[in-house]
Amino acid sequence: MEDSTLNRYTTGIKPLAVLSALLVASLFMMNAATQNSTLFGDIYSMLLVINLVGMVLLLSLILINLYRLVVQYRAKVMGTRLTLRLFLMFVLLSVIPVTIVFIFSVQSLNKGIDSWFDVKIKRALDDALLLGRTALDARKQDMVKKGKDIATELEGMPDKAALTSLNQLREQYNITELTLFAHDGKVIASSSQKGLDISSLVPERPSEEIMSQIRKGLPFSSIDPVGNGGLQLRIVVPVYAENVAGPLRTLQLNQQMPIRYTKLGESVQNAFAEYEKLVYLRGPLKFGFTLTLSLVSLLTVLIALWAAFFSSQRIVAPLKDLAEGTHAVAQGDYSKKLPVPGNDELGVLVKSFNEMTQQIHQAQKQSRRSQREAELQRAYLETVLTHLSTGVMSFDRGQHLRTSNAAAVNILEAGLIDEEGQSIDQLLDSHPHLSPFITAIKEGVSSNESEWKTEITLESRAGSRTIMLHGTQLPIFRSRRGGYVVVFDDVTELIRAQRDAAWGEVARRMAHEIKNPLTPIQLSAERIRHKCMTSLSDKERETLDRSTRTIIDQVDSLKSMVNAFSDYARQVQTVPKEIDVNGLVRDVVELYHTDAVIITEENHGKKEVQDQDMVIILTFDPRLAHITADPGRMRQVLHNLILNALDALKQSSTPSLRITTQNLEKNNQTFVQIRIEDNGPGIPAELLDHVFEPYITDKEKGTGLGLAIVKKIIEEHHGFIYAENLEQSGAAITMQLPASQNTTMENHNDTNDSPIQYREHKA
Amino acid sequence: MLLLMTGIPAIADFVVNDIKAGISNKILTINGGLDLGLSSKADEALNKGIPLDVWFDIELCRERRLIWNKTLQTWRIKRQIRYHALSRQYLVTRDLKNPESVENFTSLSEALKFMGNFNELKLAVSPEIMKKYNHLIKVRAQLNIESLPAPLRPVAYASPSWHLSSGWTEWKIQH
Repeated sequence: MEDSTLNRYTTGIKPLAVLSALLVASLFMMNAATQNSTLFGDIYSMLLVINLVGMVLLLSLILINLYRLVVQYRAKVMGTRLTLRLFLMFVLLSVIPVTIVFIFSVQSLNKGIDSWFDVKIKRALDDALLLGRTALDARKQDMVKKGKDIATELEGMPDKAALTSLNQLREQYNITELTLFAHDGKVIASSSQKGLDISSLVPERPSEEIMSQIRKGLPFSSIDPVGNGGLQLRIVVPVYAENVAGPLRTLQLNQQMPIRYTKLGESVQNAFAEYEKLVYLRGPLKFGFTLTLSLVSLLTVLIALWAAFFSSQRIVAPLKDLAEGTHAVAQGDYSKKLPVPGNDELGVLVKSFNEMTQQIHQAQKQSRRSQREAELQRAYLETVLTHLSTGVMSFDRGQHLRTSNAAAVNILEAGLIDEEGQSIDQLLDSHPHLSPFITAIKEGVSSNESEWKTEITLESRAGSRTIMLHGTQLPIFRSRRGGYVVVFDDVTELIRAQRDAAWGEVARRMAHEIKNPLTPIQLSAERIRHKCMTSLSDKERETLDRSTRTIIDQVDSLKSMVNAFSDYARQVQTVPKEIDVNGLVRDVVELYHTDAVIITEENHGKKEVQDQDMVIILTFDPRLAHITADPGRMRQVLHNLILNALDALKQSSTPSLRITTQNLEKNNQTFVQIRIEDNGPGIPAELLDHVFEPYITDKEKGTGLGLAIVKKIIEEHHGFIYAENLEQSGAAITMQLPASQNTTMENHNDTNDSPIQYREHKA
Repeated sequence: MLLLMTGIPAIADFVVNDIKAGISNKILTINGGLDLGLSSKADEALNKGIPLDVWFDIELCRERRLIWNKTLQTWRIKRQIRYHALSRQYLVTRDLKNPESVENFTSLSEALKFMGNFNELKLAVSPEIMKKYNHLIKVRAQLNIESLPAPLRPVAYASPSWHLSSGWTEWKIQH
């Protein structure tokens, strides 16, 4: 606050303007006092001091401003260079003319003052004074003569009669005042005109100097100026006594000069005195005027400096603002608005600048708005793409991967997120299993069709998968090809579902169309057998018996098959309940304790096991989540799978079946995984992809519907099942079922805990 | 009245010779005089018609031992001398408020002697003056440059010839 006030006083225009105005007024007054002392003469010295102090102050203020300007110039502050240049130019333009005017003015002033004095005037005044003195001296000599005459008449006159004589003599000689002094200076008698304007009732006594002259016998005479401006003749003469030893008396005559004499004398005196004074003051006058002129010139220069400083700053200010504005625009700040200095060219320029920045600002805002909208669109698209179950990949015109979504990663089983920007050939190198996929894309692109569609088969860990691709060329923008986008779906499950539906329909028709005639066939065969057995010979009876038994057995077999198909096709009403999978597995496995040795946590290491013994190892996750499922259907699944496994292990020397349960996190969802592994011969490779399809079996006996029904039940419970062969030997069936919602949370934190191992594989 | 001079003149041009002062009936009576010697510049200016004003400053003080004296009352007496060319006389005005109180002298020395003389100068003092204290007066005479014509003042201020002053002198007073 104090700094800003000080700054305002040192750099503001008003303080300097007021100070300059005061100094100008003071100089006017000083000049008037120099010319005529009656005007401001009493305060001349004060004016001089005020002017000097004011100029020092003005100079200080200008120097402070100049110092700041130089500091800013050294600091390379915007606009100071131009300000300094303009300042120096203004200084040169002002100081040089003022200096020239000053020099010529001083010379003219000196000459002018000298011209006031003329020898003739001086001589005339001297002569006038001499003339006046001569005239007065004549009057004076006349008065001296009169004084001597009166003194002669008063010789021998006793003091007592002196007054009468003085009165007579004063009137006789027409003297203004006559006074007779004793030898000791006392007044003996005095006579004066009536109505005389005298300053004192007592006549002035002659001084000792006059008296010493009188004692020498010489008369004294003088012309005395009196207080009211008049002149008075004063004559003092001795009055001798009749005898030589008598006391010396003194007679004093005061005679007022006539008014005409007085006026003329006063005029001569005043004119002479004024001229003499003027002559004497010639030097000081020159000095005074020169001093005033110097101060005026100095003040003019200082005001010019100050005006130059502020003018240059005022001129440069809009340019400085413009420079700062352009700098701000260069830095990307378009919101800066400059103050318009006026209606001149600079004002028009600044207005245009403001309009330009405003338009750019508007355009920038519009651009930002568009960019924000584009980003929103992009985020929206990304969100949609991320949550799409369909895989999406886009490539630029150079066949470089630009984007891919999460579904693409899952479908292709390839980490494409970090491989954006790679060419399609690099993708092939990184993921050889994508060869059919990439080949299909290349073919689609090379076809130059705007849209193309194809179907490929990819081999994966879970078997062959069918992928449906749909490629579209992106629109061309400004002669630049926009690349293309490939959308693809894993249709394996769809195809399987279609196939399953077809098989279901076949089964249903078979059950309907085949089952009905089987019973009459079987009954007819039994009837033939019953009626004809007794009437036929032994050989024929044997033949009939064998034939009818064959018919009846085959019809039973056909019935079983039809029942199996019926089960497969039947839509069973499930009753879901929350199930502890570990307990369910344990219950189901318990039914096989006569056929196999069951190894659990409790009996681990306690049971004696031979190499040829069938072993079922249970490895349970103690914190396994529950599932919501129909217990009867799930029990059927486990029976089918265990029976299949046991069948597969019949030829094995060290048959072993391992059932493992564990929690599994997949796509932010908890699944319960049940895995059944055997160390049998495994599933033939040609059947592996179709093992869950109806009528697919490697067993001599069997409908081929067991695993199809298992898969159907698992899918009814929204689960997932797949089969695979193990690396060493054997096969594994893995089921994943969604965990119940209420058990998911409590077991969620423990999903990474390893399940307890009860027994190692046999060597 | 017992008078003792304790002051020492400071400037040679104006010299305070001898001052006798006493207080009686609330009246300060001063006798004595000063030698007013003019410099050549001042003498020239006087003879060229420039009036010279001399200020006589008188201070009445109470004497104190340990600290500075207390000024009780001050007076300034202004006198003027000028030259009358027609009559060739020097006119001394002892009271500038009364222009008719002019004395004429044919010689400058007589005029200056008259001008610097305090003959029974009586000044009224305030009732604060008490006999139990010691009092003294301080006297100074100086040429008033401000009374000179305006053009002459800068020159006079700049030149030592114009700085005529007696300096302060102190004189004891006995009641």
